Amino acid sequence: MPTLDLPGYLWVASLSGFTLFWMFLVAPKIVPTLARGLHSAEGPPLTVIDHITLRISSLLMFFVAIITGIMLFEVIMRYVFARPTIWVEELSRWLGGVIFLVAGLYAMQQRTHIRVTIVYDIVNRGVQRVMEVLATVCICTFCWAVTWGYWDNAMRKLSTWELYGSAWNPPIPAIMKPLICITCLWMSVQAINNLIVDWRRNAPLTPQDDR
Amino acid sequence: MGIAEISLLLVLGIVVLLAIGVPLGFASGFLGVLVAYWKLGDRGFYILGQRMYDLTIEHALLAVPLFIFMAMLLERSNIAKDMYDAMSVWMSRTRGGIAIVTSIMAIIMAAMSGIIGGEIVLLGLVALPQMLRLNYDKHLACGTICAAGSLGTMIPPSIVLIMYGVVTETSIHALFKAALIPGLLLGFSYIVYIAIRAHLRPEDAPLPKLEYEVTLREKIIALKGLLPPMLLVGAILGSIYGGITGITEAAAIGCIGTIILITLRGEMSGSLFIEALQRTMRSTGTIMWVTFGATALAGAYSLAGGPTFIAGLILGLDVSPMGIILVMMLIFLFLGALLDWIGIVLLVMPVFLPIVMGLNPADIGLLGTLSPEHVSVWFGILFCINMQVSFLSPPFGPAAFYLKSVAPPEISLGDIFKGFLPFIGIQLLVLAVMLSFPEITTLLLN
Repeated sequence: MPTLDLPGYLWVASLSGFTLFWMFLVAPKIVPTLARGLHSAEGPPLTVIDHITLRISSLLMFFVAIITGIMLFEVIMRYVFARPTIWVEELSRWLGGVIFLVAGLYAMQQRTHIRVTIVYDIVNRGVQRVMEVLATVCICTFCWAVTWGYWDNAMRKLSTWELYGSAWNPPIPAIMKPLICITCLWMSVQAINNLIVDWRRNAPLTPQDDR
Repeated sequence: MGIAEISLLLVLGIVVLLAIGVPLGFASGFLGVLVAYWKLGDRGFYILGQRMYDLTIEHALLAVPLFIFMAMLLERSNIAKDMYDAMSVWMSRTRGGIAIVTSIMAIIMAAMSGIIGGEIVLLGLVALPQMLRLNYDKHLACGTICAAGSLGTMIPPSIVLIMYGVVTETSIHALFKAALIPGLLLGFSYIVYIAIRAHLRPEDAPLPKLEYEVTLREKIIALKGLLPPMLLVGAILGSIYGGITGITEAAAIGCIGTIILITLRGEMSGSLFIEALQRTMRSTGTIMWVTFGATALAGAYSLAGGPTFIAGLILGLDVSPMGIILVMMLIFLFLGALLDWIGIVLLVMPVFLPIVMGLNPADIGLLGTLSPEHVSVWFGILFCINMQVSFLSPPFGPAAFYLKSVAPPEISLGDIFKGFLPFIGIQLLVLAVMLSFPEITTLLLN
């Protein structure tokens, strides 16, 4: 881990402060939109785990807008001012990676991961419950195996604060590798949460058409 | 147990897991875990995370959420509806005019967007009621909307081609250049088909009753509706083909352009923006985790020597190179009827493309020829046309379900699929043309 100087501490403090502010004051206002998105009108009440996933998503979905903005900035700097930046390409890569990982959690909460429901739709609820258990076993096996196999490497990159090795040199490996493990672990938590929520229902939760 | 048994078990495993409703990404990821464990024990699990890491920091993939974001913004705006109204004014006296307008509109929208869902839903909302009101044949109406709407992933920009480029390490720029002519050829074939059918069977496409004569002045004013979409197409394709920006930046410019247009039209609001972001997040997560799972499986399978085994198996057959490619086309069509395109790109391409690259380039093309460096581009275009068919093919053809979600209840899923038949025929015809004359795809590359 790097040692921080005073501006560094200010950065970390303000970022953490903003995140806390968002999670507790802004996110609750957006979560209903995010949760409503897909479930039919009588969606189940949200659990604590749903809330955590949705609140994180409510912040990170703005990364797409941020990427759009900084890319415009880069194009303007390059063609209008002839002064291309060194950080836009790498920052967008970094933010994009975060979206790719965390968006999967949101898709899991919304039950939109692509699956074939041809058999699922015709069997009775009891068989559906068994199928849901098997699906959850597959999800957890995959997520835990990834975490297991990658944990040591990720922790090493974090503790040595490995940088990207480019002109701007952001700590992409140091952040993204542990993030893969954390996301996978939370994915299995969310999957088990879905299993418990859906178990009690008499009809499965079906997502609206994802366009 | 050798690689042959493993390969067979994998095929069986994926079928069983999908049948019991395991999400595609996690089904392939789970099998990837098993293969890695079989080959290397738990040390093999490292490869799964490493493959995921390589994808998360892949810059070309960023174009995926950006193009989705743009499509989600466009979908909420009336830009498309205004374009439809503008063109309808011009084509109101032509037989089959509304269906032709629908196709042209779909082609223009395809040049703005890289996904199909939003496009088909929009056309279903805007064009389908018009065609039904004019008593168009409902099969013709549904077929036109879904076939033309599916061009979203054929005419650049296209998410299918972006994923193909990332997986096979083919230049996405070259793919976008190569896809333009086949994409437009498909679109124009649809228009020609509609015009011929309207001429031969006028009852399928009745002319609207003349309510009043549209003056030239009104026609000129109506052109205003074409301006915003044309500006967007110009901005995106101009940036890409003009070599001004890369694909990803062009997608960002498209997003900015859409946001500016929507704001100028007074349609922008906080809820529109947040909903667009939210739906972008959901679609991105869905696509990316299929990618992660499939890349884990592909990684573990290549570690176990799978692609070499399959390549040896196929090349060992006493079949001509074009015979092998034709068999691959059949496999794509078959898989396309059952699986999502993204799964096919990620699971099948790593096995198929090396085989195609290993064929003698002189033998490729039934009638024409292809220079060796363009083989992977050509194969990508063939794949893309196959996926056009897959969007329409029963039982899962997603285009039908998108349209069904906004169609009036008297139009059944059966009606929709029945309307697809002639259009699937056209797609197969274009596929045959591309197989016969590979140089069509490389015209713009040199």
